[in-house]
Amino acid sequence: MEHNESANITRKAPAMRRRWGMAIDLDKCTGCGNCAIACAQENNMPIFKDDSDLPKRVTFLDLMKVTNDRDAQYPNVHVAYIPKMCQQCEGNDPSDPKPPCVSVCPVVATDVGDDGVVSQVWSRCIGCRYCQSSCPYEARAFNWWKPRNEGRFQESLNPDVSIASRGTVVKCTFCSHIWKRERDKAVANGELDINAVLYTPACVASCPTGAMVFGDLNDPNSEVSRLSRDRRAFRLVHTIDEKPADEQKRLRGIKNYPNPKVYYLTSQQWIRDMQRFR
Amino acid sequence: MKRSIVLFMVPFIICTYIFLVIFGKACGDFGMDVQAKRGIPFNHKTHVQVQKYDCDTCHGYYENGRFIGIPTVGTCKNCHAPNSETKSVAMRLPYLEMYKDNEKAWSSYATQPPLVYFSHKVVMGSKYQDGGNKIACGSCHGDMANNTDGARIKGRMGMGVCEDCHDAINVSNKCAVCHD
Repeated sequence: MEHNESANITRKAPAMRRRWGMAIDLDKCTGCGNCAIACAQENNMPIFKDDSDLPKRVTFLDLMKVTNDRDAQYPNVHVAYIPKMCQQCEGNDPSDPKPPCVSVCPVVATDVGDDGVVSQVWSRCIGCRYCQSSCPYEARAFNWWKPRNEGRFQESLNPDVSIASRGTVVKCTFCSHIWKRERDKAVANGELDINAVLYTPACVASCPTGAMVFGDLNDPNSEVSRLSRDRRAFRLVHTIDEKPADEQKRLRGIKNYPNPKVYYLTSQQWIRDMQRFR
Repeated sequence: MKRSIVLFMVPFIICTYIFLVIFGKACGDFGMDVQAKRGIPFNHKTHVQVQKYDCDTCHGYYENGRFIGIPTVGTCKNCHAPNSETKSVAMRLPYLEMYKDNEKAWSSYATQPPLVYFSHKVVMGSKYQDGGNKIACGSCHGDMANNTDGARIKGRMGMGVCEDCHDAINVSNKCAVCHD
């Protein structure tokens, strides 16, 4: 039943069984923007004079404000806020993840870790921005300038996160440095099993309404796994989810879908309709 | 000897000598020097083999699992206190007064740039199924137990050294294991 190659893979990486994912309840989200600020502070985002220059701004988490229709009249106006970060895509097959950004990187600066998080190593990046254009979610940012931290701002930087240099692509990695820090703490307390370590990214920890949930998708009892199977769950611009199962299987056979691991939940139909290209 | 040759060679030799001295100092950061930067002739052999201290005594961990790294002069003064009640010679080393902790840091072969997240606690805590340690201090830092003058391995520890070891003991070699 098992052929040799898959047996090899399980022998090489026996320890990690986690598959991190996130679920964001848009019905609970108030659009306060705490997640964006916490993310920027945790990941040492550079501060520029003009942050309204959207293509050149460097952020991992964008808080998008969306409306149902710009011509809508008063009673029919609906507004929602969608926190959009890297969706940590895994391609059609989770055991052999092929996100769109990883397959195009010429220098293996971005890769999928054992825990399913798409990593980005800025020191290896040559700045070709191929991954940025292949990303369906525009989750990647390019450092156009060298970050300048004026005055005593240098002292407030997070020592766990290195500051990326100019000319490199950076992106959200689900705060994987926090997981490493938690792993350190667990080992210091005598817990050697890597799968026993859970963590919370900065955006999830800062959410005041509990709209963002982070956890292990492989664990069927975790809350994020339960929410991902919820009736309200959808994924950003991923209309293959709405098709019947046999049609999905046929489509996955001919095309590689991003298959993100960030689930959004909503009870409003217009947000779901917005995910479809018209 | 011709006068013109002397006129050329004497300034040439002097200038070359000064040039080499200046750049020899400048290249110290790139691991060409044998002595550690701080200049204290620390004798690992005495401390480890004669006095039987563990590595953890000076290069220990904080409570949250962070590695302390290379100790400060203040750590040395914990034992080598000038006013110590113990009247042995080693306890009254006067020259430690000359050194301050804000001087240039000790350099080390295994020092990594900030984009590498290396956890001493995790790596040192990894064990085989039978309980044996997968790695020892000397695997990366060399035989410091027999080191008498603070000399260190020349060069800089590259990523290949980490990867070889990860391969050998069946640890994942994915980028995200060490880089974030």
